[in-house]
Amino acid sequence: MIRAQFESLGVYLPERVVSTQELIDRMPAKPLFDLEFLTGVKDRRWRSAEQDSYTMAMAAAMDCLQKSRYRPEDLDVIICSSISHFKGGLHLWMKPDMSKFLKKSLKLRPDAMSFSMTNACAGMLTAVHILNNMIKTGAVRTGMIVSGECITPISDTAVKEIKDPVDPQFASLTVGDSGVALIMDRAADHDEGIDFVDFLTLADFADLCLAMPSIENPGMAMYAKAVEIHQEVILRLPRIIKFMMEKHRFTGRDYDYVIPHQTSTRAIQTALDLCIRHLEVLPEVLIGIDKFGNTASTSHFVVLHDHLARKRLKKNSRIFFLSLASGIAIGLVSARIGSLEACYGYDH
Amino acid sequence: MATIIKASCALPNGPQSSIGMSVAAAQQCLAGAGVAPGDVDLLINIGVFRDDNIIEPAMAPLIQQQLGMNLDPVRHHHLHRSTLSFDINDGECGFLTAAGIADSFFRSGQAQYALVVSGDIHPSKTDHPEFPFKSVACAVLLARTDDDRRGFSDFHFKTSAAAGFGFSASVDLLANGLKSRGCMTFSVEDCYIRDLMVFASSLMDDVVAAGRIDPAAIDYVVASQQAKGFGSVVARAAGVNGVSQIIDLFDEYGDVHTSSLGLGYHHLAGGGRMKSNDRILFIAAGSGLSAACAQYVV
Repeated sequence: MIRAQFESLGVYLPERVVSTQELIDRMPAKPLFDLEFLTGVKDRRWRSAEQDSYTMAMAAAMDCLQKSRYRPEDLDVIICSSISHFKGGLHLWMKPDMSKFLKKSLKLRPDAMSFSMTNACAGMLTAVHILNNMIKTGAVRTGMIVSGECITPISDTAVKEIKDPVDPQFASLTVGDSGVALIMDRAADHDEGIDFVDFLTLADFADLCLAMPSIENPGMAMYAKAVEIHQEVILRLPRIIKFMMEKHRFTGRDYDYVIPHQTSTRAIQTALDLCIRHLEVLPEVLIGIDKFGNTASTSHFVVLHDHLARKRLKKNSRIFFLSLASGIAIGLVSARIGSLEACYGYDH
Repeated sequence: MATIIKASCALPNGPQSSIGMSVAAAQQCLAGAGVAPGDVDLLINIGVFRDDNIIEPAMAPLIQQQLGMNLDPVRHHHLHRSTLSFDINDGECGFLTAAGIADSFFRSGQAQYALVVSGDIHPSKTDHPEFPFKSVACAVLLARTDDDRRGFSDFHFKTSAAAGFGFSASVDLLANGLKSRGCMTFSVEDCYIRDLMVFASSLMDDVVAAGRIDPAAIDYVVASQQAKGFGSVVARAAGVNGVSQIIDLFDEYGDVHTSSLGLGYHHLAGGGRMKSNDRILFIAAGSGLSAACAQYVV
């Protein structure tokens, strides 16, 4: 059976750092609670006037290709998985989809597949699910997943529009911009790469978080019932983890690290504490929300990049990626990332 | 193992909502197939234009919610039976992209049924005079079968390396201000349809020259329908001869965008003409320029 692996990872983070305090200072109606303490978000990266989803996706894709042994013409597919698809400022592109712009600029082969897919903050890991199946079944050999998340426009809107102590736009203050690109190919080693991917959508709660253009100010807004989402997720997550771990015959002992979706440090800790009984052991949790905020679909890979770049990970780490997103989409990706470590200069 | 079309539905007069019309088509499709919503493993929305320009969540979970499809497998104690839903945006080629994705989920043993839905509407949820497409919702239920002789094969995709994209649609949130939820700007390059016919024909030339599809073996052609005769021009350029029947519904429905292939198949299936082992050539084309094709054995 063919196994797929992560071959290369490219990340782009805008240079500008904006603190939570700076955002709060800009708000006409200040929150009554300590947002930084409550969420753990101290700083996030912020786009410049010239940057958008496309430019950040391109920068990440170039970084990814530079670290990869593949050239653009070797790629059989490019999948764009971002929630935001801004190009040329706050210009929301629907057609052609963002993958067509990226494919053309990166000079992939004309017969390579290109499409966009969205699944909120689970987009990149859902794309991993799709590409994993395409590689495993021989439909393609090599592909790139790319997300340029220009998501701070929702923070701009929230700063202007938050009025109430419990406002549906508070979660918009926790996000940060980034671009991530990931190349996947066939694993040479049976113990390398993706062990399994499993996802489900709890659609009963699909409308708890909606992002769309604002009708109060020009720009994009996100309206999230964050407390309700957290409550519904933590009630269900332990049983989902138990089910998936039993189905795929894994426990927490099989992993070196867990990377959860980066929402807030408290929410992550509460959710994972409830799962310890089913995991037997909770692996070390990797967090980057303090520095980067919630970067939406790229969040797991921004954190992974941050730890890889600082050579913080054990060799041949096996990682348990936990996806929690609007929809509500919940998913697990289990993967050993030895090849990625090699592309970050780890000495194996 | 192969991927077959178990059932289809096309609704030209659904609700004025991309979600609502997709839900209505999906309900009829599943009822026609005798498949319960809870048996659907994958729900893929391929519609591009959506209510209020919502970007989160994907449309598919909102459609899943209204279908009552495996809403909460934890609470209802059936985690072994759940649905994963997401959106694909590949314009007119989205149906074949979704069929290819479903095929890989079936082949890796991770799904038995995939429901592909499409329902494009102007984001204002009105019959907006500038919306260049006709709103027709489609739902196509794909299923895994062990019969290797049937189903989809030979998926091919191609995009142009030329500078232009032919057709574009976007909304400038600053320029449209507080009306942005209900706005979309469409732009069509000169000669778009002609260039697209030439480009889609070039994909077919590549595929036929590589021996991947035998034009003489094709019984029916189901194609995008940007204009009357679009499928005919592309099919004939590929060498598909006069024996094959080209499904052209432009006069009746106009350009139904992402629903084109689903509508064409549904029309063909409903006509009672198809028989076992007939070969359908699906050809899609749209902005990018992009084109895709696949063969399907009934």
